[in-house]
Amino acid sequence: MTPQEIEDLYIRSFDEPMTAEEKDLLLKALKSNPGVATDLSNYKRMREMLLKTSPSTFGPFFSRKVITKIQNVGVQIDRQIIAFFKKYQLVAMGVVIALLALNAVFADQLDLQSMFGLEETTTPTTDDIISFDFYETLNNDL
Amino acid sequence: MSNSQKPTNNDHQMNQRDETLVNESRNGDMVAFKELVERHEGKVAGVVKSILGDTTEAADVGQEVFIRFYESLDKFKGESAVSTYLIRIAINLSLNEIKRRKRRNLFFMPIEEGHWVKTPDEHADMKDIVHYEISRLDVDFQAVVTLRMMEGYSTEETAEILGIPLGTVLSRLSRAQKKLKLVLAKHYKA
Repeated sequence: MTPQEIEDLYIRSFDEPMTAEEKDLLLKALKSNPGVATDLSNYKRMREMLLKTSPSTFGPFFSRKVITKIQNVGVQIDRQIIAFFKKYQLVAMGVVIALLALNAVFADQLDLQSMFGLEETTTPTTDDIISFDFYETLNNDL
Repeated sequence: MSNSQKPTNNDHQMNQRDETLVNESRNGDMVAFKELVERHEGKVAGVVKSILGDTTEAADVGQEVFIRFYESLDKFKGESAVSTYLIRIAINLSLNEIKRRKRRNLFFMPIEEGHWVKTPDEHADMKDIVHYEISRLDVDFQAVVTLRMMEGYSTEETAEILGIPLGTVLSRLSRAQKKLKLVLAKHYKA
């Protein structure tokens, strides 16, 4: 095995399960290349040094700070509103359908307009409004 | 975090409790969400601080991780564990922070990369030097090194968290270690 191959296998041994054959091969290679073995042992030292042993923290009252921030930006209010509407969404949908059905039953015609209560209404045209002469009507009354 | 691939009974109980807390939080229960924060603060802090160092920005990113999680509670379907989901957010936000710093430094303070982790002086121990050199690695390599070598996640967990194939994790680990070894050799010589 070349030093490069030994190095690759050595690095792999930290992160990948190895077969008995590979383990044996690596051990033999390291024994027959003491210089490479010493050089490679730095990898092990480096990894041991990096692996954390003590738990990390963001400092005291971290969870409270997070909650306060959430409440300040109003996310919580949004969530509570959503949760409230979610709880009653089926009931609300049922009521809407019932109202639409009632409209349809009591309407003269069975179409969407009557279901939504959109009855046709006549509005006076502009001509009607302009043609109404207030003074003439007043004089006639007098 | 576990080096064994099989989930333990304890992991199962943790996940069940997390699931209950997530459901309660979805209904606006802030006490439940506070418990979730307390349960996962350690893991999130470990990852964020490994990448950003023990800085004020690290705490800000930590808060942002949980706020993002709160905002996306409805999208969280429980396909992965809460911790995996949180670590994924933590990694993304931390790496974004690094990119932001690099951009800022490019325009306002042209200082060499990796400067946010204090440049080790002649009295610095090997651990500081390694941390400094890790902070100078490419962000993709940093994420893998942080999870696997610093936080002790298994290669499978690292792949799952980062959403990359196992082979990519292994090759990045190998290349990162070789890079680190080269730069550390220079320190030894010096």
